Amino acid sequence: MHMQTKLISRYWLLACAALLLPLTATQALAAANPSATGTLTVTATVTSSIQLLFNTGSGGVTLTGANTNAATLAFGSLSAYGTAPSNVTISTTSTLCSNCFVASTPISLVVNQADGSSSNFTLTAYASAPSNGEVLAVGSSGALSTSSGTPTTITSSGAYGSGGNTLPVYLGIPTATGNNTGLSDTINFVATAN
Amino acid sequence: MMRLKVQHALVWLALGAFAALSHAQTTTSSSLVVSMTVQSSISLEFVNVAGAGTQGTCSITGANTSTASVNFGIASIAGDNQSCVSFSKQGPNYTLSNNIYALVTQSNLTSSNYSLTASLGTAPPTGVTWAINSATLTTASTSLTTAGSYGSNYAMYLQVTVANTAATGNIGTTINLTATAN
Amino acid sequence: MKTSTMRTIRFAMLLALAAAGAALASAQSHPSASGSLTVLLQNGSGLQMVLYSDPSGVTLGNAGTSAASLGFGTVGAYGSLATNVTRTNGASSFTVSTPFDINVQANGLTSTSYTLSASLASAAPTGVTLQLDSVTLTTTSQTIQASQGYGSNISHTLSAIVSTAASGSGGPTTGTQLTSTIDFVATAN
Repeated sequence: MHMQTKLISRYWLLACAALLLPLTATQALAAANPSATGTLTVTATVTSSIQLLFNTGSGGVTLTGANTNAATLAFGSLSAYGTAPSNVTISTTSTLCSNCFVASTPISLVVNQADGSSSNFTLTAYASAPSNGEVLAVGSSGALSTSSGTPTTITSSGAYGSGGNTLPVYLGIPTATGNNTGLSDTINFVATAN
Repeated sequence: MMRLKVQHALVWLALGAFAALSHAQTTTSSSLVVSMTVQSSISLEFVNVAGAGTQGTCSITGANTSTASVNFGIASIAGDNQSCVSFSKQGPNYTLSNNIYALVTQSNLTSSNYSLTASLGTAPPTGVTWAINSATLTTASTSLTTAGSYGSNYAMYLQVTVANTAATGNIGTTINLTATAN
Repeated sequence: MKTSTMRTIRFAMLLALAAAGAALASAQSHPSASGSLTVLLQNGSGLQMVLYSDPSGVTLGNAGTSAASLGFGTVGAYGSLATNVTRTNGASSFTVSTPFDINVQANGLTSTSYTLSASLASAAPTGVTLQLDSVTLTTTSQTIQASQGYGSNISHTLSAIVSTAASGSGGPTTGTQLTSTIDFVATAN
């Protein structure tokens, strides 16, 4: 009787093993939590760069498009002897031009440097051709060149940083200019890291 | 003396009989009729592609016989464990491919070519598709060529496409080829 | 039996023989041969990861494989950038970003989602921090997404945060190509 029980147990074991074998094989094919891999190689070349921005100068006319590199300075209505617009200074004794009066206001010119090691920058500018004999100047440079090929150097040691560089912008208007004449000029600046 | 004469006579008789017997054998004739019926026949065998074992050309077991097998191993969307199998992936599906030759030879035939068909021994599991030379195989006969050349290896590009919905486990098959003289 | 009857029988027999011969010849004119090829194949289970270019991202090198490359090109805080590279400027750094896609396919699994993790093969270049979907990458594997479905192109944003400090002062080396390798692992949930 004991022998029979042993035999039956063995048969059961064999039967169970036979049943489990295919299951085990299938599970081997379906590995638990399989994974896949991938690699992404990332490349970049960092270059040093500088940025030029216009901001409203302290005590200056509010710029339209401030904190960008394409701003507008609107002097408003100007006259040699009338009341000057807010934050605009009128001079009739300027040596910038003859037979003219000069309006001026400060702007802040900000040049930022990234990933570079230059300590300062050179700023040049040139003005668009005058439509009514007007003259433009920035800082103490005198009348701006109107040629892109020979721009006027404004400074050769501009300071980087958000503190900016305060520079007065001058607009000399001939006294012969007709009443209510609209003037529109463009000054193109270029900052170059030294 | 008389006894000697008798002996001589017997010798001569024996020689005469021998001579007579010899003469009779050279003139005897017989014939064997050989008959047979020659039947036209063709044979089909599977042949390894040159360089078998490299990718796309798994070696077959039973090469140069009509009953062969090829092992595509264990495959998944991640690849195949047999380097000789070409593996490609199309979205959620994968395809395994391999090149095998079938060689059909003929004897006592005036037929200039043969037709070759293929069928699967059993229907494939859901999501599994077998094809030879882009012809999908089923349990019904599918034509592979109607103008096979005797004695030249017929190239078979065997492909199996497995969808990601196919169940895991054995998805192998038996492909039956039949070549018939045209 | 009459001679003519014998002739008739003989003729009939010849005809029968000829017919049988013709039938035999016909049967033998299209002989056939057969063979069987057994193909052994086990369908296992697995995952496959493939990297693709995103429609809004830079074009990957080796797109459609699991080993691709992504080139940001020349990047600067203020200069122009390659197509589909965007930039934001911070106080002491700038960030360039671009999306790319990861597609994970599965077969033979009951799993319906996977976990994506990523790590850097080696430390990022000096002055550069790499982020994937805002997760800062290090050489230690980190989970990027815990439950992502299979079979779809999933967009991920790779960002490089570049210090604006000068090289040697904590900033990156300029003018030479910087390279990092991101290792991805998708694991079935």
